[in-house]
Amino acid sequence: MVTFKFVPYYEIEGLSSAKRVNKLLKIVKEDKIVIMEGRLRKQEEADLIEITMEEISPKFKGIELSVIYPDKDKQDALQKFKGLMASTLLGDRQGLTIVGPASVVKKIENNPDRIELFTRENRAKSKTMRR
Amino acid sequence: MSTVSHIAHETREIKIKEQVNIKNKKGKELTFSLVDTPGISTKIDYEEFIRKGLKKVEAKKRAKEATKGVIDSIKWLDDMDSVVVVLDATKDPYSQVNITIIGNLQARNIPVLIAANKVDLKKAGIDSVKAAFPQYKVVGISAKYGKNIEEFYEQLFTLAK
Repeated sequence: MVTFKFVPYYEIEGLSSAKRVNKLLKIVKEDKIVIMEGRLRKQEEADLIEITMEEISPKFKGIELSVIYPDKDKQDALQKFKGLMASTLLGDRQGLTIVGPASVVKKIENNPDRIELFTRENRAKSKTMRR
Repeated sequence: MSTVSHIAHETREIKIKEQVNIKNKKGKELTFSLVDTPGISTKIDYEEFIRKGLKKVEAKKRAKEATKGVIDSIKWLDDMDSVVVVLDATKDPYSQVNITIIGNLQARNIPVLIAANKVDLKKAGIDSVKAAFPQYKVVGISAKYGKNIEEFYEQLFTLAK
């Protein structure tokens, strides 16, 4: 069985970068796959990988990470403006961040029109999300 | 600059070569410092090294060095003007590099060029590399035979603009 944990943006909104990263890693280390509303800041993404590397052990083999984000090249000027305003007022809630333990998630394929998450348990495609 | 191995994470230390000079067909020259970093990975499993033939002690040592190499690579990202991501075109692109990492480079406004290596081999699938990274320039090369290196250099000139 694969367990997903949804993390809404308001749960991480007020946290410092270190606490955001630690919150996600804590869930992942419980063998759950995080689906987070919005995305981490670019430095937080790098911090997540760095802290993951520091914590690699025989029991924890790392993470699989994927960010689904609106393709801004496909947006018109009004849509871009609306997105910018929403991000400014409400924080960067656009998109989804998926983080799973490498012991459970084999790989996440981020094709232009869909996300495919492959698990290690049954070596079969377990979840497909269309954009 | 680095050696080749069938076991992942062969490059575990940063290597720097300064004053590298290349010339394109028009005679234009480009001089740069080349920083060869370990590939940035989000997972390292020492048991995979054992399956490739390493002893347990060696595999654990390799994993430890590899994690340090990834951390060093991430720290170096802030100092990069451009990044060339080298992939093996005969293998699944998704299993070699995390797309989010490349997206992270883009978010830092670091230009990215993808070099799909080993295109001399029949099973090389450059189209699958292009499909995995539609928003980036992908150049198919054969480092072993020097195939398409001129095109690769041309793209380096474009990248460094």
